[in-house]
Amino acid sequence: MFQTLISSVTVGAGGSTSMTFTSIPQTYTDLTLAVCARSLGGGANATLYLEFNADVSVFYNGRSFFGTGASVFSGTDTSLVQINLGRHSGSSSTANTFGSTNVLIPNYTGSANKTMSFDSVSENNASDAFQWFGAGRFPKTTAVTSLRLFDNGGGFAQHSTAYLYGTLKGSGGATVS
Amino acid sequence: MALTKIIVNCETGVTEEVELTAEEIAQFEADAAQAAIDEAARQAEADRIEALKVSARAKLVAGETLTADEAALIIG
Repeated sequence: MFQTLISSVTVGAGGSTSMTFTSIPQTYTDLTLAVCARSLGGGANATLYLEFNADVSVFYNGRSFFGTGASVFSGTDTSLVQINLGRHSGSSSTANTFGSTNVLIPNYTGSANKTMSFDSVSENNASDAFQWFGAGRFPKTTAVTSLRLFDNGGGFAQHSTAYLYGTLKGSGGATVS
Repeated sequence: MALTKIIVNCETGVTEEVELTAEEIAQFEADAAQAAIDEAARQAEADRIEALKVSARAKLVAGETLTADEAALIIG
């Protein structure tokens, strides 16, 4: 599998409420998002969300299982207008720790509903740290042209980063039919 | 400090940091308030399940009768 970096973003001083990739090229087979982020608030952990095409007109579907450091749970999201990707480190997490999240969005230019899988971990040198794994669906047939990341903890802290990669089907990135 | 959002145009490579509009700030604050409520509910549910586990474990060891909730936690 061959991945090409499409774009990346790093949050500057003062933080930011969201990170958005727009005008995503329609020339790849799959997209991968790699996020390394910390929240400005949210206690020990803040929830990270992903929104497709700035579309909040539909309910996204999500199914996850996760560990909290003390217990394990599973959950279903059917009434969110974005996908819940799990938790990343919040303001009361150990200083200078950042959560890690990966999202795979296959066939993002296709005409079917858009699916995704994701995994995330928050980082905190204490028992209250989350490990998350899930899958989701953006129930629209339109191609994915933009992706917005945001959290519920008051925004991303300085040095948070997001990388967007494109993957071509075929060996070494060669396009195959 | 002004609330901002970062937008990366993948076609041009241009990155902008834009201040939120009043409407976006209101939505941002509403989302944060709802998140606090959701997190409190999640924590309460986690605490309830943990308490059930402790209780069920103690009852099993002592040979006592489990409640329906405790039994459901063990066998689903």
